[in-house]
Amino acid sequence: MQLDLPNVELAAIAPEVVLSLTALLLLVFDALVGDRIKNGLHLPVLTSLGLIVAFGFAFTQWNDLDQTGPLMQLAGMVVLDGFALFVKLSLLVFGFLSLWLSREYLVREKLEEPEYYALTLFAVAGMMLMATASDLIVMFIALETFSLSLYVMVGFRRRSLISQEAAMKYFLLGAFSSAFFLLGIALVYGAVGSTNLYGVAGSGTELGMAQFLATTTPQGTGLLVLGAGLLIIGLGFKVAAVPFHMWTPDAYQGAPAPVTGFMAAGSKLAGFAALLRLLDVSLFQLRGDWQPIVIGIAVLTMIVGAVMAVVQEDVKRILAYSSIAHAGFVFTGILAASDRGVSGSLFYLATYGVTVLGAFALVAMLGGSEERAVRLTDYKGLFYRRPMLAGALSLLLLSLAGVPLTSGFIGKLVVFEPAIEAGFAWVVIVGMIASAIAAFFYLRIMVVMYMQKPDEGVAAIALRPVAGAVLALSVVATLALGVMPTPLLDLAEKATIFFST
Amino acid sequence: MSEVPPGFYLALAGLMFTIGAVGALVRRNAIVIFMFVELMLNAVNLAFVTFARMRGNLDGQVLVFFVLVVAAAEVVVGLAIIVSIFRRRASADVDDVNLLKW
Repeated sequence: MQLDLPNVELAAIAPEVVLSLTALLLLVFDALVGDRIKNGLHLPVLTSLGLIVAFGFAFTQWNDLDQTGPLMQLAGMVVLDGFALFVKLSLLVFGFLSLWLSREYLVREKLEEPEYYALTLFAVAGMMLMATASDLIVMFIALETFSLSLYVMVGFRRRSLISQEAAMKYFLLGAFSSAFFLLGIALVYGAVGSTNLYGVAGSGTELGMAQFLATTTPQGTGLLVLGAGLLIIGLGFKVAAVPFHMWTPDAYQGAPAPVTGFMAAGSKLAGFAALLRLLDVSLFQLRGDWQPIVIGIAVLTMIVGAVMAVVQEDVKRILAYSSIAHAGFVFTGILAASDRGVSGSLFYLATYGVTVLGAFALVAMLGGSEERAVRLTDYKGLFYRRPMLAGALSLLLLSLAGVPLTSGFIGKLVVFEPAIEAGFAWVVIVGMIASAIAAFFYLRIMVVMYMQKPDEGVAAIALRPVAGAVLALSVVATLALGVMPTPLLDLAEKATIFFST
Repeated sequence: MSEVPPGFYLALAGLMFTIGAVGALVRRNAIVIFMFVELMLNAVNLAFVTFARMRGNLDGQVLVFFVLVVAAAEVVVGLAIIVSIFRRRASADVDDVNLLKW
């Protein structure tokens, strides 16, 4: 019997390999010499180094793309195209920002452990693999890699019952939803005979989903449609789409605030990257079947997210429901099933990630020890106590609300426009109503900050230089991308270079 | 001896998956919920093997190994979370875990 061994081109996943190796190295290094280093600075520094090296590799791949074009590597398991690399680079930036914001928090709460940094690295690696996967089984492993890391990170405030409760709920529902994702893979495999999204070139027997759809009759796709529906459920859970959003407010509220920011930015981008590749590329031919489902999800997600946020009293919960509403807006970009829809969604997710990381970092700082001050009433008169922090938070909230001259406005513009072009104007109108409702609760936080007097005797808020610098970066980026979005939009344009057979 | 038709295995897999899904929704003990989720994963494994046989290629059988490994990793993380919450509350009942609402 002849066995054909595939070429193992590990260079294709060099950034992910670097991140995983750094995580392992970090754990060993800390176990050996960690006690001798007093302030524990080696942990974030080593993590940053890993992220920077990975960024270097990903950036080289991004530049090489012009010569080589999109490539399928590792026996058809991963593809290197503009889309995957755009997502990878954004995720590495998220990881870097969240790392330094988390460190301030961990030091304050006396929770700093090497595991946290290792888990961050594994999570980023998993998310990146999600975007680059061209086979459903790779996608599943990537999904589990970053989910398992996040379950632990959510429960990282070991002494807090809320944090543990959040971790348990997130874990049980996460495991439940990944079973549905897996069943989707099984049905797709049953229909197509392979789990590849495209089909491996050169092998006559192995069809991929895209090739299968190109060669089969519409009657033969029933099982594939069913499988695709289950895949949407599994991924919809990860991006917190209604009706799979039940875990989101609880997990977001219970998790340490920097982890919440990382989840909102990273797992949304990773989940949507998988959805975009799956729906807008592999199942493009089936769009008549999946568009009605996506319309339903988009409309429900936007409305439920916005309406439920209005009645919340906890700032983390408000932002959790706001993140649900934002997932709905991205779904309108997916719905368009066009290149502009894809680049719009990517722009939206990248800018939303930077903004939301900053917002949750601020919540972490303002929350004080053990995050006691996260109720809306704790923000009373913040402007009179810390005008700069109040200003920064207002700006980030305005961006989340989608006010012009912030990145949030441009983001909404670039996801709504393709959807109108594709003939889904009414979905966009629902989206606009949802943003109007959403503006109410963002403004509500601001009213509390500016128009009410602070209570006497509230604890002072300490702002450390590193977190301050990263926060400033996030605010400046939010503003700059609102005023001059063209450079990032051009990059997102290049991200629509998809691999195709 | 005649062969069992593959459709039977698929029906069994579907039945197991449904029992798992319903069980995970109605039971109240976190560990039992988690066992039902494992049942769902194993139902999918059976579906993979059956499809592999129907399709005449080995992909599905290989996928089962990946699923098994991931399920094992999930047990490690999941039981750790459940145990840590059990230590604080002396209960693994999900109805007792009710600090976070709406």
